[in-house]
Amino acid sequence: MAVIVVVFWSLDVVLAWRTYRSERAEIRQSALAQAVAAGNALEQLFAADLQALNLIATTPALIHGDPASVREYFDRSLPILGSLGGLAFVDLSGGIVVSGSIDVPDQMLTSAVANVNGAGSEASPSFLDVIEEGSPGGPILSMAAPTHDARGMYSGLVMGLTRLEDMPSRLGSVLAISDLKVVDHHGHVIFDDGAVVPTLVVAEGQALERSTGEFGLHTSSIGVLGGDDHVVAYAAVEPAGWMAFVDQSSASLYGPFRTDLQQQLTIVGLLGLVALVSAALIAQGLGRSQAAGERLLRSEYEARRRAQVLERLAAELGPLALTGDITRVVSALAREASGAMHAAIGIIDRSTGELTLVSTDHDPELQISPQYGDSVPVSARIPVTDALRTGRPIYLGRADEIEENYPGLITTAHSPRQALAALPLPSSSGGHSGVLVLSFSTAQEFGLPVRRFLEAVAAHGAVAIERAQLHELEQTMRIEAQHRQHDLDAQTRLLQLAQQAAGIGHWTRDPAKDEAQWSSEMFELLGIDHHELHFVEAFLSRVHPDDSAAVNAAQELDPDCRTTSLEFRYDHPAHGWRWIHQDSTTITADTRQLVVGLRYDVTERTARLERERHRRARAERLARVASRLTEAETSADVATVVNDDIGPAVRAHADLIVRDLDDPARLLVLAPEPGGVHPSQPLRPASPFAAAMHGRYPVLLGSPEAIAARCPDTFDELAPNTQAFGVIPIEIGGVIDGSLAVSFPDPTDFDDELVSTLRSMAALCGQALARTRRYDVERDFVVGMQRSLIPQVTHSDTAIMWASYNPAQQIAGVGGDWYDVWDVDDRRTAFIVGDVVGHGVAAAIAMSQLRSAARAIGLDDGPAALLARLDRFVGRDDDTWMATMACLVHDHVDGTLRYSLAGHPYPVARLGDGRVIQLDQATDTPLGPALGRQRPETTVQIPDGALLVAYTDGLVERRTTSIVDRMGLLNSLVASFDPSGDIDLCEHVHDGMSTASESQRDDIAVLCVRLASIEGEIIDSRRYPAVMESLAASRAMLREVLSDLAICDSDRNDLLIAFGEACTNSVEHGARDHTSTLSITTRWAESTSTLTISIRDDGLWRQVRADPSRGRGIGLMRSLTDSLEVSRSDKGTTVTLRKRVRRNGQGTS
Amino acid sequence: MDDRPLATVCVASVPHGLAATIVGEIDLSNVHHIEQELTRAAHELSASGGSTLLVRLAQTSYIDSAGLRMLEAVWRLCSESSSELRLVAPTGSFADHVLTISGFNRLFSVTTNDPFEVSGVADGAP
Repeated sequence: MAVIVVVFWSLDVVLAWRTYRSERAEIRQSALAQAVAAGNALEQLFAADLQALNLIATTPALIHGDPASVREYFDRSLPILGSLGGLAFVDLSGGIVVSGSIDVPDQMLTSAVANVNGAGSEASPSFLDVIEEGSPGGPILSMAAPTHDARGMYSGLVMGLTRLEDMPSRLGSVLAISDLKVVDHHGHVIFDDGAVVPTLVVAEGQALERSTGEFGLHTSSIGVLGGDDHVVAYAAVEPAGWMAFVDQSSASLYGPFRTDLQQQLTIVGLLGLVALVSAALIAQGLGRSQAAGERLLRSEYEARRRAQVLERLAAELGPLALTGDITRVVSALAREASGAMHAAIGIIDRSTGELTLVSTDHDPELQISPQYGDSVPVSARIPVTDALRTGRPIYLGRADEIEENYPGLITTAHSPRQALAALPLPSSSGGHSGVLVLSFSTAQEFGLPVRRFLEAVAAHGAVAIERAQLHELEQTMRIEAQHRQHDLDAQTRLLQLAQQAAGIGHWTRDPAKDEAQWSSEMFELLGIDHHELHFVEAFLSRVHPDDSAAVNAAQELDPDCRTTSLEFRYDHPAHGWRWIHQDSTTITADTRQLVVGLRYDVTERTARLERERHRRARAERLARVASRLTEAETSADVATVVNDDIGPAVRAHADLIVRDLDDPARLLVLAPEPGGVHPSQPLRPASPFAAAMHGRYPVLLGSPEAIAARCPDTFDELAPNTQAFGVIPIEIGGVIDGSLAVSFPDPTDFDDELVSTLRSMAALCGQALARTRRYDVERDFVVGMQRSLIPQVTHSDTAIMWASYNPAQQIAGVGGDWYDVWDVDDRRTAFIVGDVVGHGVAAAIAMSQLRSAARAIGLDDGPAALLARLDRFVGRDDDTWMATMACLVHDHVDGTLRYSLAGHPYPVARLGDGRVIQLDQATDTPLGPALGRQRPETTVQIPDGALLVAYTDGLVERRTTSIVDRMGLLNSLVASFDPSGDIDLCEHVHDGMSTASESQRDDIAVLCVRLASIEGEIIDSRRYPAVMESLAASRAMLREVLSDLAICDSDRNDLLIAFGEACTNSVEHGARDHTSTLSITTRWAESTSTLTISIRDDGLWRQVRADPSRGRGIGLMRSLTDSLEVSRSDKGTTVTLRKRVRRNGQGTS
Repeated sequence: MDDRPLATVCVASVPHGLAATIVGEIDLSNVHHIEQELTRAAHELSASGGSTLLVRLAQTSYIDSAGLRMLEAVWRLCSESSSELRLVAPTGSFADHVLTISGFNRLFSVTTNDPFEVSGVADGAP
């Protein structure tokens, strides 16, 4: 009977203990993961140790060595075993060698030998066992590997030994888990301090959550034991029975748990004791009644009845679990057995502290006290409360006794009671939990047997009630816990669902412990295995190096608890580089500070944004292309837009290709410079250009293979490194007359968007080209007309002249500029530069009229008269126009320059002393309707060798620079001109005045003159065919001249050499054809004893620049003469040599 | 203009080599012809194992930069066959003048006196 109670109660205690656990599923999960790791580690440890043992076991030293050498070998081997604490060798023939730090009694090794022998031929190559009994310092784990003799028979056994108490630290060092416990196969927990405590938890074995066979060493299982705030995970290796326990709760399980357990075991023990005592008392009572049986038949009967009652009580109480049922049974049996009128039980209500009647028998209306009803304060002065307070039963056998002790109790009751007994119900905590009260209708003696019986019943009842109360409490708590667990499960599940749906993972990190927890979504998101032990490191190692600093920083506590958002690049093991967004913040949970965060993949979103940005940029570039194309006036402008804007807009190189209008079977690649085209190429039928232009559809080749397959011939003609190529036909004025050729540096997917962009651009180009073609035609006409009307200037004996006409790049500026040069008479030369205001064909025609008129009028009366006559010419009819003009007349006999300006920019002159002046004296309004007045005219002295530059306003007018600055620049250019240099004055001025930043918007006509500085009289002038055979003849001529003048030998040789080089150059480079001539003029100035020889040819000398020999010839000429001048024009080149010479008969100095 | 050549080249043996005497003027019109003559002499020298090609310029009344270029080419040819080109240009001669002005006297080996001149008949002409 007592045994039943004890077992019953111990189960209840375990159940009650379980309900104390709180619910933290994450802890369980984490513990489980660590248990898996612990199991793996156990297996690895054992496997490694066994491998080492096998190694040692196969060494010959063990088989053939003497004990001393075996010990020495062991001493050397022990370090390689590392974690094992000792080694033993069991010689099957009886000899035993022990080495290492663990001493094992001999009889234990002997029993190990017996075990091996018992296993016989089936002895496993390796096994685990525990040597427990009698081993000093606690149980020892042994592992063994058999050794073989030469015949292959077992000859001995090498054993590796470890103290069990060392196991947690061994495993811990592998796992880096400090709170690790090892339990042996008897269910003993091995603590760090070596204490061995039997654990009911393992024995119970109810909480196993799952069992797997993951470990290869033996059949294994992992699981979670216990409940919640004390979670114990374990990994067990069967059949040896090794278990690694991971205690996840921060407070050690085995601290509070042990106390709890012991306390409850004490309770169980106490209850058992109570039951035993009860049983003993009952037995005693029974014995006594038997002894007085003869005398007291009734007593005997009563006693037997009471005994039966107690038996019934025990039997009936057994299956009952509810307090109400128990109190009813107890009170009913107590009333029956005692012959009481009523029986009732009152229990202390823990919430109110009052004694409450919970059960009555026979008379439900019976009240404990009419004064109080069903509930009585414990402090009340009535029998039940007094018994409760004192803890001693109260027996009142007669009515007067009742009346004496508790006046008024009987009379006020519903029915008279003659006797009363109140028995306190002892509770396991040492106090009392309630009262059993019996009322009798007759007086009672309350003898000792009765008292003992009643007290036994009360004790039974108390135990049962307390059990029921505990059970009910446990039930309540369990239900409550289940509700909470369900709520939490639901919330957790919802969170999981939300995270799965959103692809969000969350993480928690405790920086103080450097611990991290991830939701399973996080593992999915980052592609990291759930079993990865160092998952945080695995994650960090895959973060892009540029982002890892920020990611690391976000893992740390932020004292201000701010929320940090960042995006970083992550090298996903399966999906490559991804953009991950992370929000994290610092929270305070309990007393700990944690960093919590969310992560989700934003690669798609980032890519979408990127695509959107590209699309917008492309649209902007398209708009820019459209805007620039509307400004294009020439085909070259369109080509510029294609090169500079369309290409970059699609990240490629773009060319504009049009049909050659002169030969429709050929193609031209338009270049950005004005009028610039690459040489035309035949339009081959197989080329993509032909396909695009004939088929009117784009030809799109996305890869080098496609290009090679489609147009192998074209490949070489493409830009280098072309990986993709597209040709989009261009419709110009309704005809497919060109194409947009696009070369991509990378293989390209011609998606709809790109193709539609290219088509749009091609359409815009077509519109622009249709317009510019009209402009081009007009411009070409005007420029051609202009060029045909403007004369070519050439050198004369009195002046070296250069001139240029550069048409404006835009049609708006072309037409109306001109210059003219003619000899007025023997001594005078006219220089004219003019500009008809306006442009186009009309201006060109007006210019030609004005030019003819000026020639017709002539300069006999001087420049002012000419301009005045032209005023009348301009205003002769309604079709008036305006023009500016500079008119200069040079007299090379008296060295004067007469000039008059009609609203024209001032010409510039460089005088002999290098001074530059502006010819700005005789200025007046532009030519226009006759005003009937004189125009001003002035005359200046111009020395020989002076430079003159007359020009139209296009040279000095620029939008971005002031005309004053431009004039200053022109003056300095004229001042710096070197007549002996390689370029002529016109080129010098043009190069210096051109601006890279601004295109030329107006025509520019420039006329440059260098007035010849001629000393002396012509003493010889001859012409020779420009052939090599003339060289000797020309030298003969010069020798003759030099001989006539009696020039000294040294100067004569110098002049011969210089002259010879000049003539050689002219013959070699200046001769255009067999009709070319060489004009040689020799002048002698007696006063200065200076000889001047000029050699003029028909050529340009252009091709000689790369010839080094020319440098030698020029060098010789320069070193042998006093001055050397080279002047070139379209008509030829003139070299002038001058040397002051000594004559024979003069002094040698 | 008469048909007489502008310059003549006469090659004769001298101890250790050959001597080429150029009489007349050298310019663009005949420089090619003279270069051929001297090249042939240089090859002859090389074949006969002689060491020196003497070019006598005492009676060369004119030589231009094309002529200097030609002498430079012959000098290079001799250098390749390990023979020596020596020019004879007496002081005051036209060649002396040109070689000095052009700096070629520093490039070539130039002597003012003809080492093999015998009794005033250095050119070997009949």
